[in-house]
Amino acid sequence: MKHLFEEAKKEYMSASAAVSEQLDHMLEETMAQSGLDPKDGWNPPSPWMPLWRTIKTVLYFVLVIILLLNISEGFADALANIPLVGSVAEFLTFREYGE
Amino acid sequence: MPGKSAPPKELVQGIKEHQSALYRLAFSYVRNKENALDIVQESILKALSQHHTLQSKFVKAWLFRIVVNTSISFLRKQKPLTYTDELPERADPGTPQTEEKLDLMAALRRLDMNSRTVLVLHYFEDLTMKEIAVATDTNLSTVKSRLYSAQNKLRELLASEVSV
Repeated sequence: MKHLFEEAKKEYMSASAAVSEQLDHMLEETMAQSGLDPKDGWNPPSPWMPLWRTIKTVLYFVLVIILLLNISEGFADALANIPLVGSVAEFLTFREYGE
Repeated sequence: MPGKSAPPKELVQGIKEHQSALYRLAFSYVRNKENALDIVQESILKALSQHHTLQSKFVKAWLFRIVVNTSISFLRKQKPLTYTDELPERADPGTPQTEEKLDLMAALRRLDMNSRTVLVLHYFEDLTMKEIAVATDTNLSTVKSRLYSAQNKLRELLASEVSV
């Protein structure tokens, strides 16, 4: 029986060759629908990912605040009058205004 | 809830590795590219959402089981009245036989679903008996008897075509 299938197997196996690109595209789409990211090599998301994303967002936010404090005197003055925030803003301000 | 957790790495790897085989299996049922792609997509989504039922030793066979079930339900929806588990009857003596010589693939298509599935998985996808049992959700002895019976049905079909 096995020899009967040898030739037919070639025909059977060739079915997927013609659609390999479509299969890749479909897989990408399906994995994305399921929340899997191709950047991770389709690996399931690490449990640390949400924490890491939060840390990155906070860091970017702090950097933008530091930048604004050091390029805008008005922004620095506005924050200076807010209790607690003012002292943090002062700590993060490296430029001396009004000189 | 198990369905909400991330799918295991071996499942995602298995899907990537066997996507072509999953497509070929679906195509062997529906004989249509678009439908086969839809079945594979639906099967992958099912696999990712039901990964808690995965037996990690048999990722490929487990994926095949989903494709087999999805393909059969697809065919049932498509042709609810023509689906049959029985070997098709020979054509009436008065009905003209097809001119085309029936090759193995055509003979396979004339077999019932269970016979076709077991032959395709065994001879084309090289699955072991145990893997076929997982893929068809049956036990080992059922697989062996189905394979034996499918081989006989196929031989009969091929012999009858040669004698015509």
